[in-house]
Amino acid sequence: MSAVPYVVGAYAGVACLFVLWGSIMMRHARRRRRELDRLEQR
Amino acid sequence: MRTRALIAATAATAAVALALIFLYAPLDADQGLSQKIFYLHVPMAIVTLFGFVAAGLMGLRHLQTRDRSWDLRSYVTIHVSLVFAVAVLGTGSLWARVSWGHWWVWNEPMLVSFLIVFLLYCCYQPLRFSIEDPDRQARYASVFAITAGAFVPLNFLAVRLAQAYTHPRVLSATGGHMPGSMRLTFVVALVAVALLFLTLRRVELESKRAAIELRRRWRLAEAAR
Repeated sequence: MSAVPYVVGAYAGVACLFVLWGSIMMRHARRRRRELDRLEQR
Repeated sequence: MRTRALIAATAATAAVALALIFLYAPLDADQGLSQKIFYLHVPMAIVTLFGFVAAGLMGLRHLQTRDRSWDLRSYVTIHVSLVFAVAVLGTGSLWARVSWGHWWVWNEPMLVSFLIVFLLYCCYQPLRFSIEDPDRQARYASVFAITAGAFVPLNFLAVRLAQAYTHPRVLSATGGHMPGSMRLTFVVALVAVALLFLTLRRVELESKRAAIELRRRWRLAEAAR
């Protein structure tokens, strides 16, 4: 059995999971900071 | 350290770790290429378990000081640790399939004990959000984090003391049986995964703090009307 698909799958899967998770969290943080800035400007 | 600097440090360390894993570390004589999963799977498992224990200590700090920011830290640490635990279970399953020919081995104590810890922490969020009163919610969540956090090292120790295990024992007080190049790669991978954990935790913590501040201001604005 070739190990290549399993090794590629493990690294690519983990990379996708964390990039997706990180980008969702960063987008949330940015949106909330923007809203806070807007409230402060009022 | 600022968040951007932390993200840059994580990306740089991850790039070095990947280069070491695929270009420097030798192929394992027994497992061949599939052993490369080890450099991802084991550091993530270590960081996950440390995250759970750290969350317990933060819960303890919350109960001691009644400072809600410690509860928030504990909550975010458990949240990020759970995401890491999903990755640990996924990569472990892939490694088991290619090494042992099975996606899951029920008589392997290390796998099963990690699954038990994962399922235990899956109860944290339902417990937390089933309580409406914020103070009670924080208190109960802290008690859960402390109890479960104490269970993690006990569980790990019990597995280590178990006689019949098939899991390769690569880490010990003497450094295991890894050659120097593999050990160096492992340590760099561990640092990269730890930095990734800290980065994700920092980003989520910033997001949650902003959300709390927003809610506070909305409440103030409502009260002022």
